[in-house]
Amino acid sequence: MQFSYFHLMPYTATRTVPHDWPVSNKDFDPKVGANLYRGYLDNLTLAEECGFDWIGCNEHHMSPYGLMSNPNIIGAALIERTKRAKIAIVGSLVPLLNPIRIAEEYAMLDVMSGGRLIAGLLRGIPHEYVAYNVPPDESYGRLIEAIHLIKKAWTAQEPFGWEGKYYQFRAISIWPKPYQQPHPRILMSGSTESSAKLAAREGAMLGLVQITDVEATKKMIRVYRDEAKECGWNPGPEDILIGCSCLIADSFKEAKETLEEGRNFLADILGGGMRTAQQLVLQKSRYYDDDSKKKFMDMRKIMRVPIEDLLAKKAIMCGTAEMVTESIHHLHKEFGHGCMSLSMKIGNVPDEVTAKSLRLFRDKVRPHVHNL
Amino acid sequence: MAYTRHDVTLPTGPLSYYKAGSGRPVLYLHSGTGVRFTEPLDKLAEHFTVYMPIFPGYDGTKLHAGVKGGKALAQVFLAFVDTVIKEKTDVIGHSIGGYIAAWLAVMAGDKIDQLVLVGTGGLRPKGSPPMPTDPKEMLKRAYVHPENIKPDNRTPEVSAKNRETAQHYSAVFDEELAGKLKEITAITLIIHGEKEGIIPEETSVLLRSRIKTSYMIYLYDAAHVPEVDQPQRFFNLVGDFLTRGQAFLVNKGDRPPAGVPLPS
Repeated sequence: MQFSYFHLMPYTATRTVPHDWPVSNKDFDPKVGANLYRGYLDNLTLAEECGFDWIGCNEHHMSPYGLMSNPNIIGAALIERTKRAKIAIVGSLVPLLNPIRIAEEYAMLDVMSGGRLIAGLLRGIPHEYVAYNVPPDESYGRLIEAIHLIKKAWTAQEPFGWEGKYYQFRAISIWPKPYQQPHPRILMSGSTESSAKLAAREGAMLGLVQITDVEATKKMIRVYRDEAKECGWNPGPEDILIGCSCLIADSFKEAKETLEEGRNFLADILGGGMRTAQQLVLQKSRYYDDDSKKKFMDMRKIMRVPIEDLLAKKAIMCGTAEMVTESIHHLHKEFGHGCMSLSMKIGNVPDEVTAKSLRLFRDKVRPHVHNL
Repeated sequence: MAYTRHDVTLPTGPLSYYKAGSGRPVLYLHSGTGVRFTEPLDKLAEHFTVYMPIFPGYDGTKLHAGVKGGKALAQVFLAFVDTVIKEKTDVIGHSIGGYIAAWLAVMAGDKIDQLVLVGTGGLRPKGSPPMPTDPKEMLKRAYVHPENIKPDNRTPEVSAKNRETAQHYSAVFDEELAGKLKEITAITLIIHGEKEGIIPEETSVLLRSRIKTSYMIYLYDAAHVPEVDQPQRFFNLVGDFLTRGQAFLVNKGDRPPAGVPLPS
């Protein structure tokens, strides 16, 4: 089992409960921000020392929810601080960006790291489309076309152009080409049936970075495997990444209390403004089909599910090293996945608690699960 | 735009052709199916004079004695340029027509202005999957959007004869042409359907690597017949290239070049 360490890089020095989108940045203190970046990079670097195989960066815009508006910049900083871990950009929000720029930056990261890039190509969550003024209705079409274009930019043997529906380029020949040939491993989200099928069609890894329910997750894996088979390939365990929130402490009580506070901060403050835009996009566009829309409509409710309920559903890991070890074994038995993403910085969980959780993972969890 | 049919007698025999439009000449060399009146060709004829010869032996016409293979057929069209068009011309060739157009550009660089090669035949590298023979498989690999195909008025017998005639001119891999691609001086646009299922990608890459001033463009959501799969996209691209030449690389924004009517 490979383990990925996921981090949102939240801005935790605010107590304002935002209701609007985008969230006003008047509370952002650049000096605090500088310290946060430094501390978060230290924390992500520690993840490698604690045996994590991947370090995950992600892209979010215009709120304290995450300070990685360009995950590739964090990826570049991590390359210099790490030696072994894969730099998993999970990922660039493809429909919002220039696909050629993604191809170029990913190739740079791959070459700079000596082939350590995992290339996440994601559609993102709905509210990001307000931030970059891209029609949400076009998100899926843009994603598919851009992925084809990015792959071509990585693999083409001669300069080429592209005449597409959303993208037109007359002359492309990226420098550098990726270190990994023909291209880095691609990871795509599979949180809906259509996205799981698309990941299979593109030969990408399936990423379910925040599971909410075992049966729903198993269904998406099944959809992915079936579609891959239709396309003539069989995904192995290494092609499936499962992720959830995780906090390891000396006692369940300690872990639960800390995580509860962190989740409340996430739901009220970090996630406040983006919910407004999220609901607007979901109501006023065809971003998701109806079934998926229902699932994502009430983000606040999702964030407010009691920890006990999530534990019962195996959708969160919270407790002692022994409890987390058992949870990892359980999920592995359910899903047969080969890569597990753990997110330990939940809301305002203090950095020292996250660091302790990482060390407990290294000393008391990983030895019992890395051979899965 | 209405195409009118004409006849001309060339040194090797009689040749029929369609003509439409006005303006700079464009010679269009058809695919193995034969002449097809597509939406992009109609639109091109709003800006150019389009000449579309019927290959000898196609659509009930007679083969020219002694004319066999791509190089020989290119010589027929060279005579057509001299006799009918009578000035330097742009050339578009699709599939086997692309193969003939490449030969024409090798033989008569001084008579060819700009060259557009679409899903080019005659240069199928060794080891490539063979051309499909089953009509259903052929259809599946040639089109992403078969629903765009307009009804063909040809009888099954004429269509079968056209396919047979294509073999008369075609080659799997024309070594002589491959060796002479470097002699092409025309600025060349190479179009390859992103989902092309008939012509290997390696063919277009070979053309790009050997023709000195050439540009290869993948047409998204199109296969072997991008004119039919993506008529508007095809016209935007080809129209822009024929209008602006090498400057088609530069994004023109909304500003039309002075004095030049732009494709809409």
